[in-house]
Amino acid sequence: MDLTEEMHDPVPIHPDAAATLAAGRPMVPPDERSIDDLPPGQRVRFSGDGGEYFKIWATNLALTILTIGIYSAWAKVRRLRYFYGNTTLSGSTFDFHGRPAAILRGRIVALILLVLYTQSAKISIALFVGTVLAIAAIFPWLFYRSLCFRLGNTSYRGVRFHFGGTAAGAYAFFTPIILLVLAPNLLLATLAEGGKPGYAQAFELVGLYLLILLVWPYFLHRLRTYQHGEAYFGRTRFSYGGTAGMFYGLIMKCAGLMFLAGIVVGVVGAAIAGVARTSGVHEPVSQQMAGVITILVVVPIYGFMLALIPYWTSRSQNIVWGNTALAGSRFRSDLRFKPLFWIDTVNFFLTIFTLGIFRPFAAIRSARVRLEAVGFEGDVGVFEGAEEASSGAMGSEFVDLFGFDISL
Amino acid sequence: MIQALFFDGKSTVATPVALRADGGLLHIQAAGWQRCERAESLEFTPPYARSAARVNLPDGALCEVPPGDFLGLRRALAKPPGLIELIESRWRYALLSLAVIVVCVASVYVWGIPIAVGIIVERAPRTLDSHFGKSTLTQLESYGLIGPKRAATPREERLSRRFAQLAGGTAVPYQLDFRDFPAGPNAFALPDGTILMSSEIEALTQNDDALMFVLAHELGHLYYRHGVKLLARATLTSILITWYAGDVSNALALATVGVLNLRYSREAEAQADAFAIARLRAAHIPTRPAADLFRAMQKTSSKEGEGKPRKFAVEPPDYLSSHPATKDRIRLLDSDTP
Repeated sequence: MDLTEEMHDPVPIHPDAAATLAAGRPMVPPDERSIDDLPPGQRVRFSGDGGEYFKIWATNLALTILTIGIYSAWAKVRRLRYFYGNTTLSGSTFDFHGRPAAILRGRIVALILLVLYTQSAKISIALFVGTVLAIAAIFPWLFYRSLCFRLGNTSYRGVRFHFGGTAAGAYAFFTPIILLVLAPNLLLATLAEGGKPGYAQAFELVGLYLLILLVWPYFLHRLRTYQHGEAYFGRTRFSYGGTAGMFYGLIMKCAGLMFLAGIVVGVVGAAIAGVARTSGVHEPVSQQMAGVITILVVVPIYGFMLALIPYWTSRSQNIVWGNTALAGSRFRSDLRFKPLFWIDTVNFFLTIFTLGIFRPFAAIRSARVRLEAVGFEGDVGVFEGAEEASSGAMGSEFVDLFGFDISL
Repeated sequence: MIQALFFDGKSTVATPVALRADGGLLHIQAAGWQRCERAESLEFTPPYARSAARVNLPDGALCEVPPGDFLGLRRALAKPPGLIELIESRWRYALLSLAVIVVCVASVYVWGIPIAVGIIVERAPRTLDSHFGKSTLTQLESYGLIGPKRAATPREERLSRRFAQLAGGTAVPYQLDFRDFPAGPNAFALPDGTILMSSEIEALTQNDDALMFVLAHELGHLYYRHGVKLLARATLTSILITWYAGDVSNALALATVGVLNLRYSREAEAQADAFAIARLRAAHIPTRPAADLFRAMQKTSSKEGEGKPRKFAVEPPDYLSSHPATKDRIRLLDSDTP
């Protein structure tokens, strides 16, 4: 079917649209996430090609090496333009307008922070603590600027997105989590100097991680509310209707799966140790035997993580995009675990066996399965651009080096 | 005539238009209006084979052109692709890029890192070495890998006196520290100059010449500052690998760093061996007893699987080993008897 024809058809507005607009938050029946009943024009299509992207990737990497990293900013623009330019909704693709110089500026700042973070501890503990505190203090602002930059430089059909949130908003939800993560760690660092017994430190660490586990879903919820709830397409604001409970449910399932896997690995490990003992291996167990046991325990853990990560990815994408709406029209996301698990696993092994050459192909395969699970219930042809180009398009992108890139 | 969609940059409403290129001008014809743009003011997005391409107009408006018509339109307007775009679209440049990547990464590993390490370690003060030595000693003790400090036996005192003569000319500050190692016969040098030797290795031989070689080997590590060098190398290698493989898997990156650093470690061991052989030869001490000691150590390590088929007794291949193969070291020591 011709997509350009498709998009002139009147699009049925979701019956709940008016009600949800009035309530300010879309209602999301969980069973309505399937995109199968959406017309093809309202489903995201990704046309990236592994071979085509491989050429861009190889050029990017070689030029980045030859320019000692400076080209990486230009490379990023070319990469994003490739992925955006191959993401189609209703016949139109997305575009990225970020200036490489701004990205380079952001990367230099991020690199300086990274070097300070990794090297200052070797000079003095006071300098390290100072660096960590300084990074913690400016991180929310950097995150906010990055959101502005990324959204402000993305366009669809000539209309720019922009981010309408404030830096204060970023501080409001980052501050508690930063304090939560930092305070006990700094405490531990100073206690370790004082020679506290190891088991006490271990208890504190376990307690800390349990606390983070309890607070993390709420943090994710706030993060998505900030990211999606204050984003604009032209004049139209996105809304985010997810609840913290959705992330709590997901993390509970993941924790349950991890618990089960832990029991299985523990039982298998104990069984192997028992067999080894009865078959007459004397203490101390030889180094090679210890190695075999380690492999028998580590490999299943790794395999389990290979399954858990796509499980988390698919479920959280469905939560986030399934609860995002634009002008009362919902997005849908129906990313299934099985296809994502298959693609991620094949990607992982092929990337290792090809010493990284498969990476561009992996990126395309992964983007396709994620993007093509998304659909939009509304009509994309009715949105007005903002009066003025938002100032958010200026500034720099910082987040990359911290491994905290913004999804789609 | 090319059928395209026009967007005015103010809304997402699509207007079907016809495009025509003529004498460096782009004519845009819609149902109720037309406009004309000079080719120089247009920006063409890179043409990807499978999605609509864009012609950006100077006022923020744009035309979406079907992928099949895009290249022809661009040719008609004499807008050649940029250099990067040309490079990106050809397989031969992609393969050339791949070759550049491999050569650069390999050169950094083979030459770049050792040169950088040389420069860094030359500038780093010796006080830094002793800092690492102290923390390592505390760690070894707290993990129970070495026993507590104890008084030296008469034999150890004799060894110390003899070794002082052997090490005299090297001007390397060191102090000997004899301990019990629960993990078996071993000896190592810490960056601050502490040479640790296990009583288990003393028990393996009655010949003090063999132990002189062991101590001289450790002194060689101190002489070349291998401890700090290995640390600097490990840091730089892990930066390289994390950059390359970090986004695939951090654990994988760490494992690779470990394997890659083994090569540096083997080179350092060979260097320390050569140093020790030279010292012993200068002092007219035979090295054959050290070869006997290595043979004895080999025997103890293969004794662990006693009474069972030696499934794992094969030595790991050279590239997976932190030390040169023992049989090579033995051959070297056997042949170097003065």
